[in-house]
Amino acid sequence: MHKEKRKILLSWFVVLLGSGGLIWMSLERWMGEEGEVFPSRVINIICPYSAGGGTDLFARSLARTAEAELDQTIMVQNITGGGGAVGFASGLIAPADGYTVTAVTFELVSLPIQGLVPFEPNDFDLLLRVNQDPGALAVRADTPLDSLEEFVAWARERGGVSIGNSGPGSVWHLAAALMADRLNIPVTFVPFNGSAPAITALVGGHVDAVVVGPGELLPQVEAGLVKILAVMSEERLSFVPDTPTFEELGYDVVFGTWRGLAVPRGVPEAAREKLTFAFREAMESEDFIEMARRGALNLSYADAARFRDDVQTQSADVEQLMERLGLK
Amino acid sequence: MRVDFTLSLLPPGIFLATTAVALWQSATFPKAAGGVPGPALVPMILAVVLGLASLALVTGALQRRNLSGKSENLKSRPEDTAKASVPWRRLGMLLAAIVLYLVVMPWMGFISSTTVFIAVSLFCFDYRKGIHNWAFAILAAYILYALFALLMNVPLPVGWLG
Amino acid sequence: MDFSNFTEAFQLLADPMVFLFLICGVLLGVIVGALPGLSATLAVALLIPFTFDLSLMPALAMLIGVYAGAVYGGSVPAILFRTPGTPASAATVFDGYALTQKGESQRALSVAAFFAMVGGLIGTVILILLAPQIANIALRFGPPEYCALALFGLSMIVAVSGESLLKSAGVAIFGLLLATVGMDPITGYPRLLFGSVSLMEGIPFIPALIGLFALAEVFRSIGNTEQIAQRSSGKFAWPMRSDMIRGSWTGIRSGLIGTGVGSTPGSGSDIAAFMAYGIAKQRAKPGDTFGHGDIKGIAAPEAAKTGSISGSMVPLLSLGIPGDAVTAVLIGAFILHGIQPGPLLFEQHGPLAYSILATVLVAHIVVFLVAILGTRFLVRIVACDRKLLLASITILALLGAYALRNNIVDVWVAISFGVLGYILEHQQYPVAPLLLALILGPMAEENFRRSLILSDGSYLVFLTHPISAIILTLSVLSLIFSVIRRQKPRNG
Repeated sequence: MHKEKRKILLSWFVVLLGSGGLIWMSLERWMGEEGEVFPSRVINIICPYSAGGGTDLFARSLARTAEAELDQTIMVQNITGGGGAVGFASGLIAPADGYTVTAVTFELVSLPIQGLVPFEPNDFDLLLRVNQDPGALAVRADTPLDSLEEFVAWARERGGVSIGNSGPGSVWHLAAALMADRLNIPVTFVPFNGSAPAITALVGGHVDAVVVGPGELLPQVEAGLVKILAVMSEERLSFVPDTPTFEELGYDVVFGTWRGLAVPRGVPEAAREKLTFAFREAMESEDFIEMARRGALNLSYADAARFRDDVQTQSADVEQLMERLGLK
Repeated sequence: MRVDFTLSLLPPGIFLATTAVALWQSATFPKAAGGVPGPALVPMILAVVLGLASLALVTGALQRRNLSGKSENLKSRPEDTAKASVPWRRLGMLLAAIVLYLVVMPWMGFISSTTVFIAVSLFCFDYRKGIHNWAFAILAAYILYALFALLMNVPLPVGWLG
Repeated sequence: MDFSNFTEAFQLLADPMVFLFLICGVLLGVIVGALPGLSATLAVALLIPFTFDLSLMPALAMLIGVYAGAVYGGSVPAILFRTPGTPASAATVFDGYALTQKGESQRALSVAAFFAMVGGLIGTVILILLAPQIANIALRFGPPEYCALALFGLSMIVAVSGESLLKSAGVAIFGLLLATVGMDPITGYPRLLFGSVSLMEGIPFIPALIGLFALAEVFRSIGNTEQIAQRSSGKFAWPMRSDMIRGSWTGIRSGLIGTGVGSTPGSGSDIAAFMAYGIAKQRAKPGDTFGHGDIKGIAAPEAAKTGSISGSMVPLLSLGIPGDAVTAVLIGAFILHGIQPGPLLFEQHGPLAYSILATVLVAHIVVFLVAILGTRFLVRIVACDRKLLLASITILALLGAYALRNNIVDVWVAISFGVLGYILEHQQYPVAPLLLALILGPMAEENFRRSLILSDGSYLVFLTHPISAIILTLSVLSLIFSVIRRQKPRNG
């Protein structure tokens, strides 16, 4: 009997303590809303891709270094699905108070053009661009093709090459299409579910070539399994300094993906500036640069204005390409 | 017996409905390009095969009903009757609680709505020990919050009450 | 193979810090694996920033520990509550939960742990001895072979599931049709979406798993909340000798199957576990009681699951290509710690490469020991009031479905599949083919269409490629065999 009573008392205690905690938490939140200097609580970065991927690593490393600048915890949340669409959409509907930042990527441009999502790049206020990765054309190392010229000649002679890419309408599909157009070679596009399976198929000899990010190819290049023939950047890349660009070789192929940060429209100017400054500083920290070097992340800063211009130019290009590919 | 028969038509019914939707939708998909099949090919094939399979299943169920109709007065197996008795009321209650919980959570907040939901679900499972229910519920809600939101970094909604 | 490297490797491993982090990793992995919706991939990814502050070996030990722990952890709730924590452990449900119902959950858990270790050790030994050779075979798997492999896995499970082949096949085709929901893998055309953005990548199969097993079990139990008394030996639950012998051949075979399946990039432990279970059941002898608590029915999926861990390390270590989602994340971790996985790993970082292999080996043994020590406590959970347990399973299932992608739509998916699973099982339709069809459907279709692109639309490609022709023939044979086997009892 006595034991039973104690149990009931204990239960009451737990319930009261628990509900007290709830009330205290909500009171604190209501009190804390006004008159605070940004940032006064945890900042979230929405990463629209799954944990462990390139964009996730980029967001997490940046968050780690920017925490010191902002003197606040920064959490990365992976809200994935729809090739990034779900994450972008939840970044847009988040309150425009600067506490939710979205990691934006090339897909912000391509998804709306494909007609798959109900938003457009202009719904975001872009903060800064951190990285730009060009496309890279790679073939198996044991093929006798050593230059882009030989590749073009070989492709024309055979009447076609199969080129693997990371998915229908993905940045590397479009890059391959742009390249095929400018090089004037017949191509069979073979979409895979991401870059890694495409590279695997290349190594296994199931496709003739791939167009993917150079960082993703690095392990295989170093292992001597594949070779990169050319990259789609304006200048040569630091980690493959001997590989020419398409431009050097006389083809106007400059294309690639990028990563940056954005907030929904309507975030107060002061908060936006503070965030931009903090992430800009983080980008220049030694830790982050070292991380980027190891992950073969090609750093390329652009401020909000330049970032927006670039995105708009790219939008027009992508729209044309998609139309030609029948993806629109 | 009658309820039993209706229930046995449920799975093939679901299959047939899916078939119909798939056929109706995949007819609108873009056509094949360059000799290589387009997006409609695989759903079309599967829908047709599924349609045939579900018709076969319906026929099977009808045959079994006719057979058992003749031998209805023979002994019915006890395990059949045990399986047939569905606790409709409690099942409905639990499902309603789940749906309500999902709708209310973003507005009310995770911890408070989870507490209420666990308490209600305990009630559905016929666990009725007054304050114990609530103590278990509130404790579980806090533990889950700690585990998922704090440890595993899962964003859980915060409403007007925690 | 230079074995002198191993002495050095084990010296690296002898560091107590390495051991400590390995054990921490295993414990975390078991918990994460046991909770539906939280996956090894997520745990490894979350740990990567944390391991920045560690030196290399402890970091790798922890990550490998998480991986091995999570693969075992999924089976704990599968055996105890019929609610698998990972898709791979759904295959352990059939016989594992049957033993729990007989009050022998302790036996089931320890046998599962033992065969998980057996499979892991077999896989690791193969990894050490034959990695480059296996990697070369795995590379020969192109689109037609993957398509054939997916169909084979599915036909295996259709062949052994349920009492009626028609029901089993119907469920599988239904699952394949559901698997076509989402963006077409080849043209990107949105199919059967009705405007949903969340399902663009297809119906997520972890929420489907949670619905089909965990929620359906809750719905089923609602009218029957009786306690299942569990026998407990009190002391350490060492697996019984007779059980070890009984499952030995199945375990070894399944470990090999798991290693093989895991080594082909893109097919992981879930496919391996179901395939091994299917093969074991097809080869059942008259005395076997598959589905009613046969030890072989636990040995097969468990050994295959852990075998596939080592299998997925094959392309990782020898080619620098991820074998599955977890190893994809591991590659990222390696690179951030300044190591480039690939064929050069053994040349450039010999001792390190071998100590990774040694860590994998030790990790399997640590998982086994942790599991055996933990069994006593785990069995006590079953002794809790079943009503409290059911309420806990319900909320964990809902949260797990959400936590996977932090998307509320996934919870609705789980609920729908819960109702569907309840209806199907009520009418004696097996649900395993539905789950496997959701996992394998996209793989089959994607590679089917890709093969046709590469062959310019010729369907002969599946027969002219020898590996795919062989696998397809085996699939057809397994279905025919199944029809014959099902008819036998009626005639005899």
